[in-house]
Amino acid sequence: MYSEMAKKHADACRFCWMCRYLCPVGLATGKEVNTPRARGLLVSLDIRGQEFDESCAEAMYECCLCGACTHDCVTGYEPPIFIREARTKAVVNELVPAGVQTVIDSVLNNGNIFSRASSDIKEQLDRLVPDRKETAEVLFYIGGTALVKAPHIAEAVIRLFKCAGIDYTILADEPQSGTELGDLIGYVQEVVDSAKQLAEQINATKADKIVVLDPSCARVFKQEYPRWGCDLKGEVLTATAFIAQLIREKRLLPDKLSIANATFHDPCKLARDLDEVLPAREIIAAMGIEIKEMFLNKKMSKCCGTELLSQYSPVTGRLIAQRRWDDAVRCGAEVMITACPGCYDVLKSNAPEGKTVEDLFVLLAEACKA
Amino acid sequence: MRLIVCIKIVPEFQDMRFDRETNTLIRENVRQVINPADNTALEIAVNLKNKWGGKVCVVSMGTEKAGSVLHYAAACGADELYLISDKKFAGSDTYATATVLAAAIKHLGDYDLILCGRRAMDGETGQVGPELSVMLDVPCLTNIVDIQKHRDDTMLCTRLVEDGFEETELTLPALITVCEGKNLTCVPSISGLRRAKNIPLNRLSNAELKLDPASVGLKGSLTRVKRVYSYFGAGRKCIKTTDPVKGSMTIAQEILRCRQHET
Repeated sequence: MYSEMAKKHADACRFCWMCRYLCPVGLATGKEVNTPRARGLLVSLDIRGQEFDESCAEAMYECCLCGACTHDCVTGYEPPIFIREARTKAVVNELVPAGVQTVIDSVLNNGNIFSRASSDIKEQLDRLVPDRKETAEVLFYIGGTALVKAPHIAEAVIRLFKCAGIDYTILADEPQSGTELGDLIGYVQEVVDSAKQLAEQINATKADKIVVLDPSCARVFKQEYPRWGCDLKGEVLTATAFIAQLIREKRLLPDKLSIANATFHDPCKLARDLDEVLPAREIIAAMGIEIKEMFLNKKMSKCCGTELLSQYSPVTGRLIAQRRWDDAVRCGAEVMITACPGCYDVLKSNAPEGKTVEDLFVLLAEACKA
Repeated sequence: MRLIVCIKIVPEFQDMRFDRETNTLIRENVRQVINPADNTALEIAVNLKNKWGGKVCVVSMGTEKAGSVLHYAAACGADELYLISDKKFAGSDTYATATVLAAAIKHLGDYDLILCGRRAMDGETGQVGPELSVMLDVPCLTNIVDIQKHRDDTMLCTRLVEDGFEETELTLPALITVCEGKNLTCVPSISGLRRAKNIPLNRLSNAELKLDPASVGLKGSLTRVKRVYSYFGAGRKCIKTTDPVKGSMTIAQEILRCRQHET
């Protein structure tokens, strides 16, 4: 059932237990089973014949797949590899917790994790770009989270495109990228099939550049699509990298904003997986905002809890987000800036009194009077 | 349509180590995977089955450890799994391996098409497929990148050749060797994984194949690895330039200098 790669990673641990101090879920719940090493042990035991039951399946879903455990591991241990495969096993053996199954069904039926009808998503896209073109130089891929939870972020990016004179378009009915489904059921053929459908639609726009708002979608486009045989013709760029380039080229000229005591929360996928920590800081500096760095910043960033985990495990999601806010408060920040629609929504829903969360692109649109 | 896919289980490239005493690859405690070209052969077979109907039968010669890897093939769409394992087959070279595979395929009965990878990433000989076709007396086409059904008893194959691609009609039954795909495209599905749980791993040994022990294993091998060594050529002096004009001038000057030196 497990690939040889997954087996290798599950057994690679030297038991230094340092990942225990990095795992946002383990830190938030305090449960030993919520550590990367514990999940590795469960998979190892499964490989050696121990029964993989509902409790094992539940432990596998109590993970954000944020990759904090992999970042500095001396063994090159990557729990997300075997955790995704263990989730596949849970789906195959019908051991998935009920809450997770609801989210899986929502992605399969509606293309998003929020049980929002696909017709609503289409309406939202029509509202965002009423005069949508079939082809353009830039395709803007928004992602389900922004479309459902934070459409104003997508609106801000579109205003910035218009301000910089970008020839852009969006898809008529944005199919899912496969990031959430892949995290929920593992990288199986069903995920690859949906990715191939999306790749065809994206390529039909003949865009030279694919600008992706959600870092999780950008990660699968850049890192998984080539492995899955989904050939995206255009260059994939995160919205952060693309907008930072527009500022460098002086196509966007932001005014200074007076925001004090701000910090920047690096989205895990953007910082750790895509190795992009500077573009967001460039944009923030261009608006004249000085940030106070949290202790766990850039590639060491601590996960906010993710929109996905918060959907099926809201209590754990809240605990994780609150701990990220504790980090911000500890460094004296009152405003947390993010560059990911999912992080924005999760952190906003769990903001302590008097603290606010701001989206990078919304701030920039304001600074550019776009 | 009955499709037989010959699969070799090979060490994961990143983990490959070599025993300089015995001149063999160390296969213990090393991740085992389906040889990449065989994986593409499996994918092509499953696609043919999905389009035209029939069954995909996977045959592999190796140790018991190959079992779990073969179940991956079932999850990808294979219908029957056969593991050929016997101590008498240990140490087989390509000829002896083809002898065993030919006997196993004959044992399994009728078939329309046999698919092999064009070469294994551990041995890199590319001999087993063609040898097998001779032993089974069926036509063989090598380096296939695409195959479509043409008529009931023929397939239209696209071959990779030195200067491009070549389209060839192939009469069945036949054997093809398949090029490695550029991507990992053979991915199990949830329904495939559920189905795979009920597909048994059938074992074949020499008790069923009844081969002369002198024709298989080390005894039946026509080749021996006598020595394996690394060649370190003489160090080259390289001049690096990124300017094509400067680069061309440098090469021209160097040619002139060599000619002057010769005369």
